[in-house]
Formats: sequence, C-alpha cells, structure tokens
Amino acid sequence: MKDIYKHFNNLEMDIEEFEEIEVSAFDKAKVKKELLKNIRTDKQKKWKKSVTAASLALGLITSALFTLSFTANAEEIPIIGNIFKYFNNNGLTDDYTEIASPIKGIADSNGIKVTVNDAIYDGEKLIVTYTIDTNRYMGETLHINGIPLIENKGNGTHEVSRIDENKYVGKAITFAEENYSSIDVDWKLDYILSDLTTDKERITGDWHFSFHLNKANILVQNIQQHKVLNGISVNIDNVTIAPTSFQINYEQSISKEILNDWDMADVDIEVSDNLGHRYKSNYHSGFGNDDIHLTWSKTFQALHPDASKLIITPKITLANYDGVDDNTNGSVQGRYRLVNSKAPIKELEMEQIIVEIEK
Amino acid sequence: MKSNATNFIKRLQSGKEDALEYIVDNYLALIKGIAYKVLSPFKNEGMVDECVNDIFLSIWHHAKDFDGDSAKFKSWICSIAKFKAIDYYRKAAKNNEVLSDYLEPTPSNSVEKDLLQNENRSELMQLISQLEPIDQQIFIRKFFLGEHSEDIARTLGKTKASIDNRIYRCKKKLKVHASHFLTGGSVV
Repeated sequence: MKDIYKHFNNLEMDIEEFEEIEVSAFDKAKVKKELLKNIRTDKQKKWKKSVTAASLALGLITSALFTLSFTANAEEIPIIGNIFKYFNNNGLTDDYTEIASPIKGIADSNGIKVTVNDAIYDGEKLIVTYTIDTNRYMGETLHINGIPLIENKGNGTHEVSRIDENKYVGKAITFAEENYSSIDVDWKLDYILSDLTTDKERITGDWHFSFHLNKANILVQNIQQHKVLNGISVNIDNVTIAPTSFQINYEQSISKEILNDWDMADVDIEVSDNLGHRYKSNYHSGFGNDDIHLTWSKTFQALHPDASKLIITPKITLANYDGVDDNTNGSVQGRYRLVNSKAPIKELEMEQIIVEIEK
Repeated sequence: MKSNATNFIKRLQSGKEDALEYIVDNYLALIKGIAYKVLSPFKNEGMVDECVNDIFLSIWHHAKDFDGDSAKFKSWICSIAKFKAIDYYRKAAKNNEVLSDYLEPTPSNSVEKDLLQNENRSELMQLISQLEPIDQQIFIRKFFLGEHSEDIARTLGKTKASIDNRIYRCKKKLKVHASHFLTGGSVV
C-alpha cells in the first residue's frame, strides 16, 4: 500500500501557482536550528500538539527580551531585529520602535568585523545584540572576552551562534547593579576565540563601542503566586509589561500519580483584567526537560492603560494520547492526540490568581 | 562532502543532515510562501513557523518515499507543503470557528470528513489504493490538498462536471468500504 507521500510522486504541482516569500539568512538559520534539534532528539516529546502552542522555545529562559526594529546598517544585515527572535523566539515582534535603541556601531579590526545592532536596558539588565563577520570558519560559536559595562561595572554573559558561512550573531546580557534611569554603556572586546580545538589563538583587535541608553518603558513585575489542584501546581512567576504587549511566565508541576493516569497534563492560562477585558494571546511556548516540570511563556496583546488588576485563570487539560508518528524504520517518533480523539480527556479550572499591577 | 544540486536528494534519502540544510537554504522561501498563503487568515506567525518546521520534518522522515529528479522533487515538496498547511488550516479553523475559501462546508457525517480526521490515515490510504489512478489523483488533490474542482479540472484537462462526477462516485465507493471499517471501530 502506498502512503500519501508516495502518492505525491504522481501529482504534478503547478509550481508557478506558488509565491515565494522573502526569507533571510536569519530565518533560514532559525529553521535549521529548530529542525536539527528535532531530528537529533531521539525521545521527542510531543506535548501540546495544538496550533496555539507554537513552536517550542529555543531553550532559553529570559523574561524581558524584545525584538527591536532596526535602521542602522540595514543594507548589510537586512533583518537584524530578528536577532532577538533568533535567540528568544517569544513572538514579541511587533512594533517596538518606541523602546528600541538602534546603535550605529561597526568596528573592523584584524579581519573581524563586529557590528552592534540593538540595545535595550530595562532597569535590571542590559541586552546588546551584535553581528560578527569573520574571515574564516571558526566553529559553531565564538568565545568573546569583554562584556558591555553599565556605568563601568557589570557581570554578564555572551551567547553566540553561527548563522551563515562566516557570520555569527550574538547577544550579551549584563546585569545592572542599580536601577538607573539612563546608563552609559562601554563595551571593549578584549579578544575573540574560535570554538575549534585546532584554532586556539586569541584574536585581539580594536573593537570598542560606547553609547548612552535610557531605561526602556518596560515593567517586569514579580508575582510568585501559587495554586494547587489535584496534584497539579502552577506558579505564576512574573509579568513583563511593554507598551504593545505583555508576557506572563509561569511554571507547572505535575505529580507522578497524575502521570500514571494521563499521558499529558498541560496548564494554560486565561487572562482578563478588572475592567472586564479578555486578552488574546498570539504566542504561547514552553519547554521542559521532563514530564514533571514545564516552564511556559505566554504573550498577550497590549494591556489596557486603565487596568489595575490582572485576573489569571489557570486551566488544566489532562489527556491521553492515541496517535503515533512512526519513523521510517518503524520506531516510534512521537505520540500525540488525534484530532476529534475519543480518548479520555478532562479539563479542570483552577482558582483565579489576582495580580495588582504596579504602576 | 557537502550537499549540492546534484547529490542532495541521495544525501537526504540516506539521512545526511547537511542535505536538510541544503533544502532549507534552497526551498524555504517557497515552502514558507505556501504555508503563509494558506494560514495567513489566522494572523499567527507562530503557526506558520510551526507548520514550516513540520513540513521540513515530513520531508526528512519521508525522503525515501520520493522517487525522481530535482524538478520532480520541487513538485513533491510543494505537495507536502500544501498538504500540511491545509491540515493545519483545518485544525485551526475547527478551533477558531473561522470559515474561509479553503474549507467548503461539508455535511457533518460526510465520509471523507470522518476519514480525514483520522491522522493515521492508513485505512484511508488503503481505501484510496482501490480507486483507479486518475481518481486517486483527483481524490488526493481535492481532500488532502484542498484544491477546488475547477482547479483540478484545469490541471487534468477535464471539465468541472466530470471531476465532480468522479468525486461523487469515489465517495460512494469509499463509503461502502469505509462503513465496513467504521462498524469495525478501527477508523475514527
């Protein structure tokens, strides 16, 4: 018996009918990264195979990252605003021009060009995105010594990924020691080191950037409220409020007993405010290393300016799977629930969590 | 060795990751265009991304089912893209209760609807294999790829009436077989 993919061999599609859309090196890199992660994971866990739970986060927990629109050096790095998305994948891609700080800065030294793209400071941390063009292959990541300093102080981390032939993108996070209203940033890269074991020479050069930043109009509010129902607990960690959207980060923990009875347990949240507005989410993603704990991040449309309370209703779905995806060699690739499944499913609603919005 | 225009299909079929990267480099614009066009009514970028990811994974997992050269390969992946995008569309439309050009209202108890909802589809494929080749093609285009009868007629150089007629007869034929499965409780 032929499967549908074999039948497709006999269909002649009218290719002209389809329109290509513009994709960038970043888009390609992002898709590749996600795909390679998927095909390399033997025990792929297909939780929440629903369209609202969009693709899994790339495996980073960061609460206040924003995709910024970008104007400087646009011809060289076409869609630089996507760097944040590349690392964060949180769907906050809408218009952030009002809080964006495009930094015009290129330093070319010793065959390596460093371009600072965007920076944002939210009162707690500074995030700087950059692009590095090298003159050779230097591994899948780069090691960079020298962190952007806030008022000449700071500790932080770099994260760098190769996205194209000799092109890397990076994100530096520096934690602020005080909550400044504006900061002077000074970033000197001491050296860059290849990721290849065969290439261990520190490359030094004159890459130096300094710029001024105002605190962005973003509020990160800690919540830490906890509810438990039937062996399932949910903890609302924090909410990040920006001018055009807000994001709630939360965790769920499931008891082992529940997982004896059910294949899947998910906690989703519904959000409204004290004025009766219900908020629609355009992005929901989550990840976890086991079946017990999952960390979720859900992004909603802009918060109404007059709202003073958020009303969060956690909703639990317990379900059993009845669908199986087989690999071509016959092993099981993933299990999930069929559409219109008759397998057992149970939905529970938790008590509301009410959050006073700090203004 | 790296994948290039002449060897990427072979490398893909033997499970080489660089072949997957090659097809992303060369076909992402096309695949994403197809997914975007079908799913744009939902205005959900995350959904398009997830669907695109799913399309490439299907290409990867079913590479061995492909038979042909690179020109045929392009047509093959377009079929998969359309198939997956329509699948996402149907599920999302169900959740969101949105009607659109891509969904023709069908009676709630229609046989193809029952069958299509079975994600495994193996029984359906078995049923389809009992149709004549031309009808197989029409059926797949209509129900898996969401093509309208007019478009199928144009592609196959037939009249719309004859396509509709064939679809009607296919459904009737399938219904006889399917009811056998349905009473056995194994299909949906």
